[in-house]
Amino acid sequence: MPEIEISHLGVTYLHRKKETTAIRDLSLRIPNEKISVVLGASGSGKTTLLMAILNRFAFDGEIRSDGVDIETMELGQRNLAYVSQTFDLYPHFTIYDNLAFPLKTIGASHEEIDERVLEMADFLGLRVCLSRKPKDLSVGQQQRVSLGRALIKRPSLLLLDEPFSNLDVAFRQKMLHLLRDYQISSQITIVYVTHQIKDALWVGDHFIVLEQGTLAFEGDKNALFASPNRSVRSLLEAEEEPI
Amino acid sequence: MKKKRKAAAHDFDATFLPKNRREQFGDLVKNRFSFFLRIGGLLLLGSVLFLLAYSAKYLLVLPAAQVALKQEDYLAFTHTNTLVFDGIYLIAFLPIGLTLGGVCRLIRLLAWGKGIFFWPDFWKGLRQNAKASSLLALLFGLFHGLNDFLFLAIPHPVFRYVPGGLGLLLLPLGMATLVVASLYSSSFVASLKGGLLVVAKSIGWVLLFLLFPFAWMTVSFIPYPVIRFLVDVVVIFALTPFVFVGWYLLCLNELDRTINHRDYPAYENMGLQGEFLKSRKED
Repeated sequence: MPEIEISHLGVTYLHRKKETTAIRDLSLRIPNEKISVVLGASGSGKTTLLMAILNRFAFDGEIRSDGVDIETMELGQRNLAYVSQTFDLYPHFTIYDNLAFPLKTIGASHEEIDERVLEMADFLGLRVCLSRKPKDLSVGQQQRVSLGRALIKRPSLLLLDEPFSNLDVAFRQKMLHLLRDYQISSQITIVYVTHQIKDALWVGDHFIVLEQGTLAFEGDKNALFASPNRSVRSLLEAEEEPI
Repeated sequence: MKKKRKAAAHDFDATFLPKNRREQFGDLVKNRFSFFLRIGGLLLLGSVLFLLAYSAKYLLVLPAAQVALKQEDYLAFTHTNTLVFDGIYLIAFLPIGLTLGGVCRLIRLLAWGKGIFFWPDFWKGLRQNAKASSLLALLFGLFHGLNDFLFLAIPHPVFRYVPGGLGLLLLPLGMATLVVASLYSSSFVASLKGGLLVVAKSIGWVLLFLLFPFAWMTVSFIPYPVIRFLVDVVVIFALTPFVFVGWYLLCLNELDRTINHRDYPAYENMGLQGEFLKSRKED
């Protein structure tokens, strides 16, 4: 499972004909086989960081995955998966076909696809829905399908951009449990972007706090609570519904 | 603008699944309509040889003979021609039978709520059911030929239709046998017995099912061969898939209540509400 090293990352883009710096001279390490949570206020650069790890756009600095510069790697080589808030499923496909799709694209055998789809459906509690279309499922179930579609390829790196923010507390809790269970059983590296501190504290092993595109904090839970940083303190003090 | 996501208000659970095969038919028509069209496409593809032979007979050979031959010679020619084409149909029914065999697997997976890999599963089903489906196609071809022979041999304008009508009564047995053969790996005779069981247990539905081939037979009274041909194409593509899926589910319903209930409880009500409620009880 990859360890991600980010050195002097800088991302600037044009917004309404004006150059905007989203991330400035950011250096950090995302440990392997852990859940790293990226926290920060809106516009702090959380999503931009994920996009940079995905190599979606040009950036300054360097991002290395297990020591290899990601700009020299093909996306297929990296074995990563990405889930965002907009978990658009293929509406004309059944849930089975939605889950099977990533495996079909890599040419897995039908037996293997069937086995892994059923395994994933059982894991996510979707067995009963397999022959249905997405419109028959609730938002929470659709989100589970979306997560399943990302996990089914058994990625070594999973990038999550606030995927559960649309869900209510109970669903979110369920999803976080599933995510935790999966991470424990498969030992993958997860980068989880959220603005919900209680979710982050429950699920995270490693914490990264961004503030206006710069690093405000990086470390484990104990260090996070001990941090005197103003952004961290305001995050920890933020009121949230209990999880 | 952000697209509005279509989602149900509540979690989908087993209680939303169809309770029985009849409900399942309606559910499939509503939710898997494209599947019926794909089945129709397959059936049309399997019927190409038959449709070619049919159009050669009625659109090429007979019109040409009508022009070239005298009235009395033409009548004798049509008799010979019918029997010759029956021989060709005997071969043309074979791909139809094999296609039905492949389609049976697709419908089984659909009914059981399994994942479907359309073409691979179709070919797999075609191979798995090849023995039964080709034998049934051969028997159908022989009955068809015999019926034509008797039709020509019986001079009475009404009675000459009797062998064909009686022959059609055997059609449900053949179709039920094919369904049974596609479900269990058993001998042809055992499948035939299973088919008999299905037909005997659901005679009312069988009679209703028979309306379809009888209605289709009336197409032969249309005097224009081109229209007959077009109607046949439409029936094969657009109607047969619904009738066949309905027939398959009817057979499955009977088999759930009999053979599956007794010998294969894991298959009983598979794809229906009962399957999940049963496993919930077992948990």
